[in-house]
Amino acid sequence: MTSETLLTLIFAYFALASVVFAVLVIMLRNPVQCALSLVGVVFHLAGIFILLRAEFLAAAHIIIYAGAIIVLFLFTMMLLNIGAVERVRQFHVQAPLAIVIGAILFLEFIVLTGATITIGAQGPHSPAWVAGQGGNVQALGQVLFRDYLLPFEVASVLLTAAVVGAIVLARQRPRRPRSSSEMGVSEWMAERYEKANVRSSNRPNSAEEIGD
Amino acid sequence: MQIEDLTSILPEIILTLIAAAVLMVDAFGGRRTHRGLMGLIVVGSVVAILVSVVLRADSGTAFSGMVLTDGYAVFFKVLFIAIAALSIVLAFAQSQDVPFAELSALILFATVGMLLLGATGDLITLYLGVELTSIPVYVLVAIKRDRFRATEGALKYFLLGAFASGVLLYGIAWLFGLTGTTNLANIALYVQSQGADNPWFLLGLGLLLVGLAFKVAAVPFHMWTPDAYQGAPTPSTAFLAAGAKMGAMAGLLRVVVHGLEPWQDMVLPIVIAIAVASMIVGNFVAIWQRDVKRLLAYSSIAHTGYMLVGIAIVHAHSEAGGLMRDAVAAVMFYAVVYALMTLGAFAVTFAVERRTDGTDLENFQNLGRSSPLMAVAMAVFMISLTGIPPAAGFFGKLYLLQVAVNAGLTWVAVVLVLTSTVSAYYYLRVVVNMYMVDIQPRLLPVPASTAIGAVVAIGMIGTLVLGIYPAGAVEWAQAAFEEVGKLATSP
Repeated sequence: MTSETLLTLIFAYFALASVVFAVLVIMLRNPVQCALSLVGVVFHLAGIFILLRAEFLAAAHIIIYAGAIIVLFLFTMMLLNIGAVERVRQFHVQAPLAIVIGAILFLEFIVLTGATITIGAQGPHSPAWVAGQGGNVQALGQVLFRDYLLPFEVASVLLTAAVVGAIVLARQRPRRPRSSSEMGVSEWMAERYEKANVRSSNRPNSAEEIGD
Repeated sequence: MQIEDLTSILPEIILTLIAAAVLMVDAFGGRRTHRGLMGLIVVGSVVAILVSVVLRADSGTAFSGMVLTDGYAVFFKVLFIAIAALSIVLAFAQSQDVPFAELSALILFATVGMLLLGATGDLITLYLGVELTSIPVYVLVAIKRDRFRATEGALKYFLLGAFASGVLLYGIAWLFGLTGTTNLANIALYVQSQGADNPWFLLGLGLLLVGLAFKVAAVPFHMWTPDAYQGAPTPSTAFLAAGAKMGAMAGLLRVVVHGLEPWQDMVLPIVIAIAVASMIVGNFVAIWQRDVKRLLAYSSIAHTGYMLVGIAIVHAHSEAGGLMRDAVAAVMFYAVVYALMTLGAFAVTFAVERRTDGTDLENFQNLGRSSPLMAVAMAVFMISLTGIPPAAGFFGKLYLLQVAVNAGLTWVAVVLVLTSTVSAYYYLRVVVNMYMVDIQPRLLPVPASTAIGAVVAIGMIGTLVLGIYPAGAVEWAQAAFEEVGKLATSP
């Protein structure tokens, strides 16, 4: 067996597995299983990136998507405590629209693999330039920490500001309202639920809980 | 990167360090350190202003063209740091109700974003500046979380703002894909060599302009403004109007001066249309407002319109050096004047709010007798916002009118004058309520506060000084622009 066929076989495995997991993400009924299937998609896509010699992208893909974002999904599900009620088949309303958009996207991929369309200028970082730097990790490092050093650092200030902001908003405990116009959101929601006569047996998050 | 590059962002570094220090001191020291923290911020801001003027780098680019170090950047650095310091002083008056340290740190972070917007030479820096300005401001609007209006305004602002940031980024992506660069000067060079008739350019450009028009609250992208301005605690509103909005304006002017030259035939009608719509909608809808904060929100939309007139002229006359210089200087001068009078007006509104816990026109009744100094200051700000001499707002509008007439856009100048006349109705109604409506029992004076008094005094003195002697600021703005002009021709 030549290395060429071996590579093709490996690619076929990654491609097929990622498609299967992607289908599972939208077909499974348990949200936790959906999220875990998404992890499968991400891992197998990372494998394809490695075959394409985009090693950095593969590593970043796994760290960011599998490591951070999907863990965040799982945390959210855990905190929301999605019960048996929510385990119905979802997305059936927008299915026709999804099929149309998916078909358009599929056609676009077919067109793009066949033809080269150029309506603009090429950037300075050509494949030859990347090879000259000794690989895409080196090239990325050169660009990120030399040309784009300032934006890189500013992004860290931006993230700090966002974290401070999130903590400021999350830490505050609503006080007793002084007047109805100053009523807190949670009290307001609780009142709305009472007015709407929502029975606490129907809603697990009853007015008392929301009212804190 | 050379070590000299660091001097070009020294003010930003100082502000970031102060913000970090404020957060750390508050974490260990708690509430009793707040007075000292305010002192630190004021002193630090003065140092940052001095550094940006005295230790400024030579006119040129730094960090591979990411930021520019010209006089224009220095001009806006001084303005924005001053606005931030005044907003924090104003916020100190409510330090019992809100987490003052975090609020100050967020204002300082947003100010770093504004400084980058004034200095941007690249679409990446522009985007990061816009985001670094917006995200802390969303939080500033919602910082009193138990107020329903604040949460409502903040949510609207956040959702629409996030969408606008997405549109802005999409436009940047298009321009990058088409020109292969995000550098403003290089984009202009590329388009000049290739011709501007590619429709895809227009798509990217349109998305970019829509994103920025949202951030400066121009019609029809102004929907969030009244709710966010009214719902936010008044010091946050002051920073939102005088700070975040002027930051986006500085970025927009930068993009127009450097990057958009080749597109003038196509973009000019759009900018003029947005400017005229902002002037008309802002001024006419303001007539119906009973709440002074909401009234000032619509007035800020109208003032965006006035400044966009100047920006449109900059855009149309990039070859005619003298007119372009006058137009840029007029917009820069207007930004200073608008920041001073808006900060002052919101400071008085804040003082009144502390008296009767409301900002309706009725809450201003009797102010002329109970707190004469505050009432005089508010009258000056209202007269300035209307554009009546001797307040600075008059000269701000006069310069814009001059460039509009010189540029042959007489009908736009007529719209500007007519809508300003309309604005006299609602601005002067505030004055009427302060002096000519007598109610029994008479209200008490507004609670004394050194912090609010200081901001009102600085705003009033600034408004009057610039109204009597505007030449100094205008000459500085023109000199600042001369350096920009040099850069634009030899990137």
